[in-house]
Amino acid sequence: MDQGFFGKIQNMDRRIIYTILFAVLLVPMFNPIGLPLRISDVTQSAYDTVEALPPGSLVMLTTANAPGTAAELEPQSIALIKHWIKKDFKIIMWPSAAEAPRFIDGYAELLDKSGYVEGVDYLVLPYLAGNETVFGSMASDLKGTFNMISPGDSALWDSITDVSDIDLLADCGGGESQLWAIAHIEAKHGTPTICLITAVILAVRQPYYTSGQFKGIISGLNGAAEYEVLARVPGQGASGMDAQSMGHLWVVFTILMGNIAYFATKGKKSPGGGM
Amino acid sequence: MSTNPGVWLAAFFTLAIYSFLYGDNPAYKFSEHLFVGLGAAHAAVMGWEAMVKQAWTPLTTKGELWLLGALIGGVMLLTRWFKPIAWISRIPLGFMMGVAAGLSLRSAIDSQFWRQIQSTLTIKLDSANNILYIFILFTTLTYFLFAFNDKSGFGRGIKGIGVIGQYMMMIAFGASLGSTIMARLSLVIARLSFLFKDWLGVLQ
Repeated sequence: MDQGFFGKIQNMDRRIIYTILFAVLLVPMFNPIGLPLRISDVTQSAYDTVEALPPGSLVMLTTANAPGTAAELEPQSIALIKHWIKKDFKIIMWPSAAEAPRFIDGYAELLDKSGYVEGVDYLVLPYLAGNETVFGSMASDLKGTFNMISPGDSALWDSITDVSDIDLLADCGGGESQLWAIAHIEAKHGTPTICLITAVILAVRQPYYTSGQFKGIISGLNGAAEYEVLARVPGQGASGMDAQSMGHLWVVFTILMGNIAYFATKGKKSPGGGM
Repeated sequence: MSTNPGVWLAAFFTLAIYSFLYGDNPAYKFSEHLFVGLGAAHAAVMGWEAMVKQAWTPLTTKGELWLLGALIGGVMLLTRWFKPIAWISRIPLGFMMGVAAGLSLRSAIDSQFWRQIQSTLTIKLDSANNILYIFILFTTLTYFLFAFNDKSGFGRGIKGIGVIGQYMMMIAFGASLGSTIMARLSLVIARLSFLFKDWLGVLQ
């Protein structure tokens, strides 16, 4: 039985939709369109917070980056670290999730290539199991929490007394870690905190930005692209934005066509005899 | 094209996982199971390392005897595999739950409750965004707080405000779904970039 145009759209094979999606994403990757990028308030605030710190400031990145979130969090983290390098900050990095150490290794490599010396200009703290309890412990006694680092092991570590010495905390992750960071470290020591998050959780993290608990938010691949533009550190974020925009256009188009087809065929008998 | 075997392996598994979009197949199943197995193995190794670093080493080298309690608690958790003594595992579990509840409650009341209320009450109605914020907050709260069946004019009015709140929530959920799609597209873009740049080398 002839389904008609809208009937065919409603029963379109999903493989056709996926094939077109891949094509739509690939074309701008090979031929960048250079679509304009609007800088959001939250990213601008994150950039301004970092930019306001004087050279030599002590900053800390706590990251729960994992393979499932790396597509968004990795470009953000790299853009932020490149900005920190430009500002000549002293950097402490801590993996707050079991999957994160391998990502920190990559950031350490980036710092080494930029002339940073491990233990003097930057330091990687070991992963500790315990999630929120570790954040609580760090806020109460940073040195005691990482008591496996002995005095003399690192000049940077020796120069720190507690969390209040940290001028900026950046928490990166797609889960609850940002809430632990503000609940224990920001609330107790007033440490300026920014967060790097997946786009999915922006809506539930934004109230903490409005209340001033986060000084800025870098969210999703677009947040990474915005930060790269602001900090003038070209990277994966900006290069993926054309594809991201085209992909969205395709998704919007399929949603519209699906709805039009639904309402156009509503009430008509389906080929199977049902409604 | 890459000559790194690791990149080839990653490319194979990327394609194997995406092959599910065409239909379920053995390559997808194999990759899925391997991923779960690798994840479990990685978590086990990291957990073991953390135990050695945080408990065993300080206990044996620095004589921090209190850590013995943590180690014994860890062993007690494993008793749940043995039915007759499975009840023992509830003791450390209860302890962990208590610590987690105490820790998160103390901090959540300040950072997630009090400061959020404070921020909302002190918001200045000097921009369209802030006015919209208060409007959505008011209508959504009305929907949840006044969920009674009052047939008077006042009751119908309150219910009407609650219906607006319902629509506001739907808009918010729609925005969240949009963000989810954006996140998933980012994942695809990253994999395509890996395939065409790192593996095939045809993308600059």
